Amino acid sequence: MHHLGNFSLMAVVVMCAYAVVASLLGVKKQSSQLVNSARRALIAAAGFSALSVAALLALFLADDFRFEYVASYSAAALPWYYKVSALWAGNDGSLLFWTFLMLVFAAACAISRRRDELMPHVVATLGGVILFFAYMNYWVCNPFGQLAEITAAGPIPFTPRDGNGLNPLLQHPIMAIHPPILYTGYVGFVIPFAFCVAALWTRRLDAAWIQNTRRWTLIAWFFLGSGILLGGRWAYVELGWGGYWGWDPVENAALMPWLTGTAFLHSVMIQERKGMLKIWNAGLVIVTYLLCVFGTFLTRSGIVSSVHAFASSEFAWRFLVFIIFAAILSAALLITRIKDLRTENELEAVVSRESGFLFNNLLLLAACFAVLWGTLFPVLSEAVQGEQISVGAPFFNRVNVPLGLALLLMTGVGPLLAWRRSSLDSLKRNFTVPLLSGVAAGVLLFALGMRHPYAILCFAMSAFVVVTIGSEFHRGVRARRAHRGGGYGTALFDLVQRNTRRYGGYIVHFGIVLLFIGFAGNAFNKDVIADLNRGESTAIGPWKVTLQDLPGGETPVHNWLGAQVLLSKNDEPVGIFQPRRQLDKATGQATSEVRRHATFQEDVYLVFSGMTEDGRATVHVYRNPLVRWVWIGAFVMFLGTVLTLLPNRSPVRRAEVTAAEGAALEAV
Amino acid sequence: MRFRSLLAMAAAAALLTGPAVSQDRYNSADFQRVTHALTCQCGGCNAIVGECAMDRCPSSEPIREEVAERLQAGEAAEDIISMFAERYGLVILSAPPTSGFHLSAWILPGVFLLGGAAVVFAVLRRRRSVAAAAPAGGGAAVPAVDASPEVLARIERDVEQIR
Repeated sequence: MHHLGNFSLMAVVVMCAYAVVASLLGVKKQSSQLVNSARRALIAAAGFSALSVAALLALFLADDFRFEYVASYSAAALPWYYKVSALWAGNDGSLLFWTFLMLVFAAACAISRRRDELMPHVVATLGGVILFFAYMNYWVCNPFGQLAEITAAGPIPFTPRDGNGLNPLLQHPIMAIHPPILYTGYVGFVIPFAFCVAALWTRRLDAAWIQNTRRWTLIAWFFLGSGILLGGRWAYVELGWGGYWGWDPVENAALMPWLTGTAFLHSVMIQERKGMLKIWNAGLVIVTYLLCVFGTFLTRSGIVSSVHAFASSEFAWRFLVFIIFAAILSAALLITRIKDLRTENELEAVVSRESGFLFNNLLLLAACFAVLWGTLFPVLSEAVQGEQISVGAPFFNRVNVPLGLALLLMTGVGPLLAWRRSSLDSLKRNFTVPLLSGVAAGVLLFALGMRHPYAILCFAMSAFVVVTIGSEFHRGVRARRAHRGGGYGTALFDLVQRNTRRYGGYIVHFGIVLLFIGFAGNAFNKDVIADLNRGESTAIGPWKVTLQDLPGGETPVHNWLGAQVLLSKNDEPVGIFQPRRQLDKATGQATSEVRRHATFQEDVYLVFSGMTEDGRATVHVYRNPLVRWVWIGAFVMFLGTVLTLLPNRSPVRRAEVTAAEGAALEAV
Repeated sequence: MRFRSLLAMAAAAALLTGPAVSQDRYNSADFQRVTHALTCQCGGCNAIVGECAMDRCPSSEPIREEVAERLQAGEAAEDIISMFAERYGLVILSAPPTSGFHLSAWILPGVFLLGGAAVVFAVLRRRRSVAAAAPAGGGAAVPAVDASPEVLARIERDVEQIR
């Protein structure tokens, strides 16, 4: 099986190299046959990549511990589904999986956009990028290496009786899907990147490449965001520290391209509509993809220490060379095409939708820069000062919370601004109700005793944005009903169907508001640690936790000890929970199995930290308000994004609007 | 089988046992403040000491214990943080100091934002002046028109209908 894996890897290298050469030769000789064969080579490479992944998977499922990678991340007693997820548990396998996913995107693009005039250059770019990863897979991080014992007579093949097992923290259903989803997001940005490079290369710099890659970008953005949130969910339910986001370098690595990708999704609207910001958009796509590769570099290089990182890889410099090479090449393309990227229109007013997008982009990029700067500052400090420092959550929270709040505000302000310019009248008309709602919410919370300034601001702005979104829907429905009659629900359905992008976007914004409401809950987190004998209790607010029993047991994978507690609220029993400590048999690693009582108001989060020497159970109880809204917000964002990906039932026919009418409308 | 299970549980209990401590002192505001200003020094997790969930962590647990003892002995929170910074170096602090070279960690994101805002305003001003100089400028996708409020209202209504 490993021969098949290795052969397939080699075939991927050959096919990608061929795709680059054939597509460029095809362009030069104007041979559609060569260009098509290059495109097919990329599709074939995806097939071979799938074979190599299948081969490694077969080795995992067969418990073939002759292979170092299988022996390092699996064990015979591991359930089959964790043997599957062990495939991406280490550096070599995850890189193989990364390449496979990138080729899936490349092949889907090569099939669906085969008639696109940019395709030869897109294929060349994709082939070049994937060639690097295939080279790394085959020569540098090959997961098909066999174990050998070094003896005087030379290396002798060695097969351990069992594998080291999978890190018990990774033995969680979310961990079975989080990495593939996150990777899909990371690699998905290769498609807009390839189209951007192709557009710059061929000087076809109108908005066509952006329109053609809009769905690809949105899919990548969606998967990256979903992967980030799933990672947060896993951290919350599995790690046992009571939080979902720790500003770890690897978490930051995923957040950065998501932020620049979000900026891009907004600024493309200006290019599509007004032919402006061409350089900016091309730059954003390039930066987003480079940040994606930088993310995997951070994970694999060990230049910053992270709880998520793979072991420090001596091969990381190759990634750095690739990133620098790609950055220089992209920058050179961008600089040499600056004249072709001239704007077709000019901004007319500071108070306009266009400038709103500009400020939204500025805030997103500032947040991205703050995250990048904080992540790399320890490296810089050590290089400049010779002293190691840490940059943790207190830094990132202090710097990014104000930026996040400003972004939340822009989520509400943006849709209220008119294109070209907003008159004072339209500002008054659009802003009065949402602004009053926000202020009223803030005043009410203050009157009710809330004193945390950021929390008050966050809730007030959330009210402002929700009313903005509501009024946008309401105005649209009112107009449709005036035109076509019918009930409110029918008109709403009709409205959304006719402009999925716009109203899907609003739903995503609503999801963002819910996320921020969940984030604001962090300001009121409380926790208590208590050593309890059976029958003893500890309290936090209205909640009381009483230790009832200390059961224990064994599964094929681990031994466990639990703290069975009765949770009561205002002395009314709520339920019996059993947070556990588990000891993984294969790795000897102890982990927490937390238990939660989750409501819309707050989570009571129970951790059994261990036993004291005098036989008492140490129980850590967290009271985390509003956390559930983070997961609900994520789900709403999912729904909104799916909606934006759907085609309009009846596209808005702009041609029906005369130029003069359009101009007049935009001035409204 | 029963005997094996009991043995396994005993082994688990032994491995999961930590030092006996009184936990009340872990719940004061000062304790929270100090342990959130320090990072775990176990060599990779980067967790905040007050949040480190590693079982019997060789770094966070002794630090938590020492913080609790010092607070009980009446030491001020700031003094305890300084003492740890002297003992371990700046690496133990969960955020960079706000002095010397490390001040740049705090300042640069703000500089980036203000610089970016200045650039955006400059671009807006320049482009507005270009647009003003050529009001009917070629390339304008939508030429400006002088429309009465009635026309504007009608257009707005029509476009709402085709949305």
